[in-house]
Amino acid sequence: MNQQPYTVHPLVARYLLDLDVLLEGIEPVERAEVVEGVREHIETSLSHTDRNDSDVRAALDEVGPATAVAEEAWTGRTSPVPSPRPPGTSRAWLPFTVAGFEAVALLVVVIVVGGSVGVSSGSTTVTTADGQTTTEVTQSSFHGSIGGAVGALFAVIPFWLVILVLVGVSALWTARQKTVLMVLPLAAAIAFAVLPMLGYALIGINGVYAGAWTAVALTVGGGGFLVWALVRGAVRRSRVLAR
Amino acid sequence: MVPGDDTKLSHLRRGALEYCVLALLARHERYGLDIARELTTNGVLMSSEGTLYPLLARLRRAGWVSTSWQESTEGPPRRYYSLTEAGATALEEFRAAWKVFRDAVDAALVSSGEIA
Repeated sequence: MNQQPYTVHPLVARYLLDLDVLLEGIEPVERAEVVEGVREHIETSLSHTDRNDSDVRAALDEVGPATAVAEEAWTGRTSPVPSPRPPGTSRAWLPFTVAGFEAVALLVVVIVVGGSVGVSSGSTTVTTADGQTTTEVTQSSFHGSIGGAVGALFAVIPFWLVILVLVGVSALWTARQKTVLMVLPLAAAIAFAVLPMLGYALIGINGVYAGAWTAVALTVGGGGFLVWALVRGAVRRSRVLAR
Repeated sequence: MVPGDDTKLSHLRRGALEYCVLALLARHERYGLDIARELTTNGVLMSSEGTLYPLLARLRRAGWVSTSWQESTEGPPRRYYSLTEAGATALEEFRAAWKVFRDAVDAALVSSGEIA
């Protein structure tokens, strides 16, 4: 039998993550068994569908709220006692804090690399042999942005370490989402190092500006959007867990 | 405070639902979705399909059900649950206890005129 490869739908991944957090404190084997059982259940019920958003929502509705499954799992247990509140690393303060550090880290990259990228201009006077014609030729040169990017990496390290710890210990994101949040400041620094140089190599001095502005757009627009989306999802998840 | 219908059902289910699962497995092994769909048919025994899995985990831990993987022609491999000998014994004991319990409840309700 050939199994078609599939990826876990984000709504399913989020549901299973919520459930796993709610089961924190239950014996690991039983906790994994419950989560895996629910995952198999959802996959089986989706096997004859297109796996679009409405199919997934319908399947999750039938499974019921993660809190109800967790409540059943905790039934009759006296030890360990489930915490009435989710752990600190699953509360709303954490994604907001991560968003703040991400914003500062990206800003530092923009300021440090932007301030170090040098485009210099020089003029040359050319005088013909008859001494009558003088022409000024203006030349521009690009110093490169590798040094600036390395400087930016060092400058963001303190913020990045905090991001690593907070994102690493929190259960509000999937492994893939955590990876995105962790590499974002580094990716921004690399973009600032590579794109102006690439632009310079392709079309000269104007390419530096094009590359630099592209890096700014990617960092502020793309990076900002990713942080906003991931933090918004994490805040919603923390509110679900706090019910 | 008068408990709502959901609360009443929840109280009534407790202690009986796991034996209903054992009863469903008495004839043949089943996979999770199959059991859940059967139990949620009328919304009385179970309201959310997902709550089946903590229950199945407890039954497996108690040694009353065992699991095995089987390929499926309709999707991913499925985990099948089957009744163990200890589970069959527990089910028979419950059947006997339930009859006595049900008769006692019915008698109490009839005598007070609450059921026809």
